[in-house]
Amino acid sequence: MTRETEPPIRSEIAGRDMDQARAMYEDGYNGKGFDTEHSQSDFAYRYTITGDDEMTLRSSMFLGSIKGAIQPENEYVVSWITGGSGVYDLNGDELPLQIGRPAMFPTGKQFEFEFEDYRQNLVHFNAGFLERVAAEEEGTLPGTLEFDHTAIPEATALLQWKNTITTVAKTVLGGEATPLLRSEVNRLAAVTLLSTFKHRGPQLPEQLLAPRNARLRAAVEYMHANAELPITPTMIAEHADLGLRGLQVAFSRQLGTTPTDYLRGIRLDRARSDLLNLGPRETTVAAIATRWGFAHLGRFSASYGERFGEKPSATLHR
Amino acid sequence: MVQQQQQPDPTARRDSATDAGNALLDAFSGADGRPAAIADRRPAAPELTADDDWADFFGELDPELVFECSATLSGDHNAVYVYPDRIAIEGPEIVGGSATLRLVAVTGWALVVQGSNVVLTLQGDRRYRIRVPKAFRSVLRTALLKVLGDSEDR
Repeated sequence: MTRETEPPIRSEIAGRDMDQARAMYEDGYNGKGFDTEHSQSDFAYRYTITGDDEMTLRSSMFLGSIKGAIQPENEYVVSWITGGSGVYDLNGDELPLQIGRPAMFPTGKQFEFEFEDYRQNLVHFNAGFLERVAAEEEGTLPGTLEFDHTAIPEATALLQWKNTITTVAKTVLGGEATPLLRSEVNRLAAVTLLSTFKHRGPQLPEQLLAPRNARLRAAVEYMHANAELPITPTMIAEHADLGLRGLQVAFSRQLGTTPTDYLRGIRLDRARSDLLNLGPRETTVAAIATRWGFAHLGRFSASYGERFGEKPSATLHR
Repeated sequence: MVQQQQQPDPTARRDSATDAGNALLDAFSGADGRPAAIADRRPAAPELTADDDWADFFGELDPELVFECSATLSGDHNAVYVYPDRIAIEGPEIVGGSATLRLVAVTGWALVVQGSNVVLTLQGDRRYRIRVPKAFRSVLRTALLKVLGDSEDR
């Protein structure tokens, strides 16, 4: 029988073999090219996870040296070391970690890291959850959040973060929280993260903030939240409680475009984000075009060039 | 071949996972009767801080343990613990909830992905099955290959 207060997810992996550890970290963080070596310590590793599908609190211990490249997918991660040493490196932009100081993983990008004899706490936020909280709290559109991993939060913000995460850890790790309490602490952690770490999300066109455009705003938010799905103008209109004609008129009057073109613009923006975040060894322009629903590569390149002033292949090779 | 590891783990704690969690909770509220392990570690300020190692909530690592993979998902607990000479498994699909097999008694093993889980089957005097999240497949395979060898060779 499941106790209501038990966390939905609680797991642990531990061992004393470097091959195991390498396999676990490469799988868990979409990693590649991991290189591990023994240090002065007797080798051991341990990785724990507690939480639910919105947020998990994790700990990682690795008594050796480890380096490689990772690209976490569909999540935002903040971490801090509690022992040992570590550094993140995004294209030569190094961020040495300090014990107790939280730092965001670079968002949506592959980055390199190097750690030795470390212990680390991590908070993993499901991307959809954090983006939804950001949209609700900050009035932005639901969509990818770009965190500046090099920005150092202000001292007062860090203190607030530490106080909050201590409360959150007591609740989640203590295993005595009801689903309602877990939901509340998940949101508390998300809101505090957003107020602590500099970021930006997709912005609403200013005219959509007017109360009279609430239905159009609902339509635009729906399109941003579901851009990767095969949505149609009819579905968008139904979601916004508008007729198809009303939707088209609202887009034309307020945004000077059609729903179809607006959705295509969102998808081109997402494709650009992918091209910027991935390298030519990891993907192709054709693969990105297909992912975002562009069947004709030539037309995709033309639309892309018109919007961003360069060819998609040029973006990919940056 | 499994390497026998007898070194005490530097993070080892004396209390069990549950006891550690309860003790820390007690410590937060200032309750009496905290286990010595907790009291020894934080004699002056028994407060959880953001800089504490969250692994402490999982209790000690058995110094004899070669490999551990455990997961509790929505109340269902499944685990595999590998020691130099034996393997212990826990799960709701195992008669009695747990079983321990000597490594030489395991005649085959397999990992099969089923939805979001991976099912580990051990063949000994009977079949034993546990399931853990699919994300653990690779590390499980790496660990079991070293301990049990290729399943098809056994």
